[in-house]
Amino acid sequence: MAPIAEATYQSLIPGSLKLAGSPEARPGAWSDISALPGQFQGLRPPSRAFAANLRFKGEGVFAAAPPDTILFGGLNDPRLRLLRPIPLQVSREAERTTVRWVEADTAASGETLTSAMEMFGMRLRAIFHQLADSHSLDADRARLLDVLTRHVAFRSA
Amino acid sequence: MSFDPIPSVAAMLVCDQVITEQGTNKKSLIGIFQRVQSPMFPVVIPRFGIYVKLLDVVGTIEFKLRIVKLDDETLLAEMAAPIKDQDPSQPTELAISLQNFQIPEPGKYEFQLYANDVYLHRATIDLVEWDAGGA
Repeated sequence: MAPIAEATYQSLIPGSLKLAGSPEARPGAWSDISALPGQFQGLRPPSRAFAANLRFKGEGVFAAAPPDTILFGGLNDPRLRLLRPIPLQVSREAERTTVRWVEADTAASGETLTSAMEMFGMRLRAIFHQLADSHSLDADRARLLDVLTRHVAFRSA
Repeated sequence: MSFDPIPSVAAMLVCDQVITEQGTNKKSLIGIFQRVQSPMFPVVIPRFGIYVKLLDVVGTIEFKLRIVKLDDETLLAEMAAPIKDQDPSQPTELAISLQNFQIPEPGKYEFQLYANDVYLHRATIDLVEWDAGGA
């Protein structure tokens, strides 16, 4: 079966920008906005970058069967870090997909699996911040926070 | 039992081309887009790129890019490749270049990123039919 696309990829290190100098060292240099800043001639170690040719499998190879479970890692909060993946149960009814984290009794729905997971991520962030900021929690909320903190942590911690 | 943190996506963008400047490693994303217009389907997009900025890449992970047609969530294609951590305190950037991508029909298509089978993020493009003879 013919591939539907060809692909290559590179894993790269972040770029560097080295400014010419401080305003004190070179008066007027910062106002010269028409000039491009100087660039740092850094090295890119060969072991830190690689590329490979990849080919896609053709259409029809994959069944459209939805998964019953999926591992969630899309927290998308720069303040938080996900310590381990969150197992979600997936169910579909009519035009809606629902994902549920059984241990935390938390669920979200959407038109597609990924939109449901996006909603789940939003809900998880809101619950975590609310509970983490609370000074007193009842037993149920304390148990929920305990479950959450086994999976989610503040990035600065 | 210890776990490595799950990589976090700081950015995921679809564009015409990702250019990496030799020496500085700075990336330029040329022509960021979300909508593709075509007068006919199926259509082939000759070339485009996907840029991903990842945090918390520890050890070697297998990333997977899945292309899904959203109206029925059909999995059209899947590619997998390893990423080796560089410096866990620094972000990892991923530049994916796709050539001759065949789109069967109009609709929303999603690029879904997974790390070790854990769902991380998505980027969506809209393929719309453009009436070449219209105003």
